[in-house]
Amino acid sequence: MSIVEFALKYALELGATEAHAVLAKGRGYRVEVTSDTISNVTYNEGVRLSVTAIVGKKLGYSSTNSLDEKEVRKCVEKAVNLAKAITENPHWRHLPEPRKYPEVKDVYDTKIAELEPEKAVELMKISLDTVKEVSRNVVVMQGELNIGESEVIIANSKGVWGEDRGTSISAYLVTVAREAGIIGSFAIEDAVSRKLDIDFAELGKVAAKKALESLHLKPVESFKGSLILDYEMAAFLILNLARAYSGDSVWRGSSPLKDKLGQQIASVNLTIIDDGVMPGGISTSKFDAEGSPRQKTLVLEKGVLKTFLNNTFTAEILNMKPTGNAASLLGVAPSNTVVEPGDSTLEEIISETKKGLFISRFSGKISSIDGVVSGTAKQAFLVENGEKKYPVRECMIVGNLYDFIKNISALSKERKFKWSTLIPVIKIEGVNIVGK
Amino acid sequence: MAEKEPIIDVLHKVLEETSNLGYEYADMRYELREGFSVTVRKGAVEASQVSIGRGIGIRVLADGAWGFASSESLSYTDLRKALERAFKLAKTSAKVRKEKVKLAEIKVHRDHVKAVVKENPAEVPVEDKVKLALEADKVITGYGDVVKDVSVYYTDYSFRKVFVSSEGAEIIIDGIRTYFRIYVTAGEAGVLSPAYETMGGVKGFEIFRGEEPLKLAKIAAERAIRLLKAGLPKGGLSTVVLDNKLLALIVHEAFGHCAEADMVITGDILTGKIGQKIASELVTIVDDPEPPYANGWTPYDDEGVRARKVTIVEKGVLKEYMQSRETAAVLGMEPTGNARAQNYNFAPLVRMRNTYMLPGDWDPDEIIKETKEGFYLKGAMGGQADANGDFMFTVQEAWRIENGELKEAYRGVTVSGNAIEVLKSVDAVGKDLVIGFPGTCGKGQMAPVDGGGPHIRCKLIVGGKK
Repeated sequence: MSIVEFALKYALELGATEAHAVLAKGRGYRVEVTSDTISNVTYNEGVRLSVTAIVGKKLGYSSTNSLDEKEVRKCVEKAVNLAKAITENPHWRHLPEPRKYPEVKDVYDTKIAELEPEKAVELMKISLDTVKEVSRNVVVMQGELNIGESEVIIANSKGVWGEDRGTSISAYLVTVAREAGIIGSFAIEDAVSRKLDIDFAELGKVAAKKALESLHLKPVESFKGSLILDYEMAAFLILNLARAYSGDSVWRGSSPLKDKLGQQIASVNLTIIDDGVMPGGISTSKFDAEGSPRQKTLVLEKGVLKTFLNNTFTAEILNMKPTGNAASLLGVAPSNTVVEPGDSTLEEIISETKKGLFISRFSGKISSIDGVVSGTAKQAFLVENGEKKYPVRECMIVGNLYDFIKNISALSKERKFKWSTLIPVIKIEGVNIVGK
Repeated sequence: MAEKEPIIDVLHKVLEETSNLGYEYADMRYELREGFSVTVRKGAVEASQVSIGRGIGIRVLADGAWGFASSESLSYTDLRKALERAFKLAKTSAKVRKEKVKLAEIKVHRDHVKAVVKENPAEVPVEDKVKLALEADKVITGYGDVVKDVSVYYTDYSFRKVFVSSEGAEIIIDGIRTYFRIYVTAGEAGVLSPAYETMGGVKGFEIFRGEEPLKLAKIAAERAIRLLKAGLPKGGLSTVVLDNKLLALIVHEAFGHCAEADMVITGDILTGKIGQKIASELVTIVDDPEPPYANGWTPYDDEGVRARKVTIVEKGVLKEYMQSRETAAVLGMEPTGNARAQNYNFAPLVRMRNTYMLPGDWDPDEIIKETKEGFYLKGAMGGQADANGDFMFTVQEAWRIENGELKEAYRGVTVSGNAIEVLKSVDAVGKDLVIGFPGTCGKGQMAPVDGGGPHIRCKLIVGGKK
């Protein structure tokens, strides 16, 4: 009997009415960069068994990273004892039933699994060298390359059984430019993939360019105009919106989208799909954290809110269907967030802008609860009469997320993978930009 | 935990029997952590969890470069294999490294330090912890339907860290941390207003026995409700009075990171400025491994350096940076015990511990009374800072000051400025030092830190309507 089967069986023997277990294993290398130098090369491997014992409506959770029999037994005993000691979660219904899992593609690359650390160091070195080729005035303050593989077994007492594995590679560089005693603000550029296909020269080039763009800043007067969100910034906005269409925020009362199903909440230009089975997606997997199958869910169609994202728990409460978005038995999270592209090129979007701000980084906050957007634009260009003019000294953006999505006037044809999103550049009209 | 730690002999044996590999230095860090947490949301115990984790991080310096490997197996054979792997990775890394790593000399210690708490949370029944969270939740939901969402989190963990090095160090640290966090969302007529409060640190369950947890619940609930009707103020450069909590965040995020020696070496606003006046002479800022109850308590850092207080700014003059053995060697300075690792999966980096501004002689109420026009800014809901000292934070609550009196309140206010310019503009420092704003600092790795300071008055940009 496997450890997972044993854990479930033992939990039920000890008095659990339902049980859920996850065994996760991972290993990988990390190449760390500090001050333009490869400062460390690290190897990690780990394992974790997590057991949830449910006694009626009481959930006790226990985890350990030691898999010898004694520790596994102790782990299960602790979960059951904890469940018995606490009070009820009156909202609890039941664990998910087994359902068929989808086939997922391009999530495991043997080239990553077998990559030698020497090769990983070489890849990072390409980025560092490219930064210096672009400009000697740019320093890589900090950076990391992570490669790894992971596997997971999930099971519950209702017969759910799933096994999955994946590889990933990710890298980021934090750069800063210096010139004649002036220090720019830092720039971040990152890339992530399930395959060994990141262009490390391009990563270095963009990281260097972005750092240089935060030197020689000029102040701007306050104005009301277009806000053009570069890929990262667009991803940041949409992921904050995703909190509001999570069934978790909805049933708890912290989402203003609560009573908006079927309504036009955003511009007709905006269509969002949560796609847990997208080939090669960074969050693509056969099943979610409760063992329900991942799926493709149309969330926002031409601005109309079609559904919320749910796990079994929130779906039961909201009388909806689970969408394969369990982040845990109780929590919900988006998988891959795909925003449909528009029909203008990035150049057209800029050339059609009378006055606006093209923004790559935002130091601030977007709250999904009240929609408040407030913060400072970083790596931002003034756009005037269809031309990118000059990088601006930090100016503040003040507005509301729920107004922003109503005022989207264009999205680019081009899209990029940014973290777990596939995202175009997004243009928003009528935004208050607070300058000097 | 008084008995002999059995892992020590294994660690020594691995180091002894690999000493012929030809490395310059190696250390091994064992960590055991056992934790408990419970989450209560809107009157219900959502879930409760216990966790246990153990492992060893091994760092090797060979040919002037670092290699690192971790192991969750504690057997001699697996640990030896992990050390050999770290050695190989160091050799790999050395091939692309220009400047060789050197380590500043330190006194080698053998010690066993224990955090002092009154009531070990591991010995407190689960029922008491659950009751605490439920009671706080009840206080908040007691405000009625205006409260839309409540989350109360109780967490505790105990840890043992064992550090052994090829130089002969052998340090055991036993510690405990407890936290209590409260999130409230109030709502009315389509408007939602969030509030957040926290307490904790290297403290036992005794801190939850008094009035404090329920008082915090009340404060969070009342603030969320009060600010439902608040709007955004008129923005611009303003005279502001900062409370202890917001000052703690600015001192840590906007200023402190620039005084970490690895950032200094890369090049930030404090590079090459030791001995220069960089702030108002009312300003003295320290990073302290103490007090022993603060969240960033660090008797020895994760490379076995006996931690000491770092006076970063004294009366406006930049005095010292925070150092690891590696940065100290580069800068020709002395290690300060600021090298910390998130856990056994990571090699240590230069990190802050408990960072705070020392008090002055103003009565905090007097500071407000003596302010003609400006804002009183309280608490923070997060923010960001830059290598050049520019920062942006979201304030929990802002009050307009007119002729020494507090007028209307605002929410969703952001403040921005440059740490150096702000510290230069300080013209009043209160005598009310508070150290007790436990947080987790992210710098690639997470580290428990604390901070504080008194009330101060300075100038910064308040973001709002134009």
